[in-house]
Amino acid sequence: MISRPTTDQILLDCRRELLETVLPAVSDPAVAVCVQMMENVLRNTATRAAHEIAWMTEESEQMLAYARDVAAGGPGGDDLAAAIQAAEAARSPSLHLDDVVAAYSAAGEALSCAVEAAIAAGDEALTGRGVDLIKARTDREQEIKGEWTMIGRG
Amino acid sequence: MPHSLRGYRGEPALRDMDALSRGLTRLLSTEAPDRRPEVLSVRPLTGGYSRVMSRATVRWDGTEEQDVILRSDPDSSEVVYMTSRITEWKLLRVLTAARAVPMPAALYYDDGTHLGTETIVLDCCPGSSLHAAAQADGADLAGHALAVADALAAIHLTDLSLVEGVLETPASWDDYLSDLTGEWSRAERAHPESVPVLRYLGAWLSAHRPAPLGLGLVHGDFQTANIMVHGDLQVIDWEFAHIGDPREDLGWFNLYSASTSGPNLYALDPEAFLERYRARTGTSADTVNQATVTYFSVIAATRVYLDILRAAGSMAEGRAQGVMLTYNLNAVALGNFNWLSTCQALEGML
Repeated sequence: MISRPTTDQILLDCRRELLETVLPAVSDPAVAVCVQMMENVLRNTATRAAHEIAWMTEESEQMLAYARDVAAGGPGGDDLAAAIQAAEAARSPSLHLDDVVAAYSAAGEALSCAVEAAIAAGDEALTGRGVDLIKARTDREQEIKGEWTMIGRG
Repeated sequence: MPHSLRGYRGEPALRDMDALSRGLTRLLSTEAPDRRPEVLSVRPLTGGYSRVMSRATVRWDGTEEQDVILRSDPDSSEVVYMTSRITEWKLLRVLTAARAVPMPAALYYDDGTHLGTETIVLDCCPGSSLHAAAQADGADLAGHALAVADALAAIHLTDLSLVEGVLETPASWDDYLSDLTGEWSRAERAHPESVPVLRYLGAWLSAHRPAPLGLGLVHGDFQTANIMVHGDLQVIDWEFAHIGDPREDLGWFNLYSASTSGPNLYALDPEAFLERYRARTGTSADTVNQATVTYFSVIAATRVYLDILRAAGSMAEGRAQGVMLTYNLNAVALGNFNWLSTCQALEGML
């Protein structure tokens, strides 16, 4: 397959074309807003294309390791055990996006159950570790989001 | 908001002003035959996304003219938020009769017989919205802020026996808050992928409940665009009213003001605002303070945020499409980040 230019480079070039060629030719304000939104979405997807496989794979392992620690430490019950089991079953050497997404979602469920258990047990240390993982996740969501304003609203 | 970003196209029959005029004439002639109503004009109003709004001028007895507002349900395929017009009408009737809340009088209700769709007819409040008034040159922002606190207090002091049988009464404050905080977790479990931050928020909000406050009438969409300025303030758009924790309105007012154009009348001087509110309602700083307002800002965001999340879920399952939807994923990302930061900032304050 052709790997260069990379997917994110291609998406960003489409974005540039939209901004420099299409948008100036648009006179309908509603369509202009639509084009501006597409520009934003292309930026989001370029960042995702460049990193999402690596980010999800990395986070999945961290989330699962944390969930195992919580389960081993005492808090948690059947829900956490089942979520860990499901996350382990979803792990796959495949890097196809659907497989990575499935493993990521299953690991996320294990993290959710683990954090809920840590909070319910009043375990601040374990809760803090879980929050750190969630924070890292939301930080990456911010990186994907980039600059963002409510286009089209006064 | 809770307004969708989706543009409203309007229910076809309600775009026909002549038909609307004839229907209104029939309604008024039925409701007030002795006053010989004559509809002089009907024109559409913009700005409302959830209901179809029109303004009509009516002449009574051949002499007295009155402007009225028609608040109609849109076509069912275009309903963004499911609320009941008959419930809203019943609520507005009892509030109008009690004169306890600053609001335009509710006049008539049509079940669709005359106007083709459920419609409430209200007295028209002249003047501008507070959203516009607060952005005018030389606006008395501090004065507006205190007036808002007064209006909120008036709503929250409403005797709940008035709305008994009209609005559902939660069994207790504990049950009510459990339901609200549980919504984050329920929505996450219904979503096609795991979103740990939502589960954390649900657990955190439940574990860090503020001191309880008596249940009261909650407007549900208390924001400057829903407040008219005509001498005093008049509160409109009651479709989301319910019995709940009054601090929801404080949190929503703060949240909405912070995320739209125009000054945030709460954030100008939160202590002055809250001091006024507490003095009017007889509440204490133990229950109504900046921390609890922030807590309820997260609670109050539930509805709008989860609507966007559900739309994203629909797209993931192939049931929805559109660039607006993918664009709004950024709002989800922003919400995730903000709610997490808010909860961390509140640690130890509640």
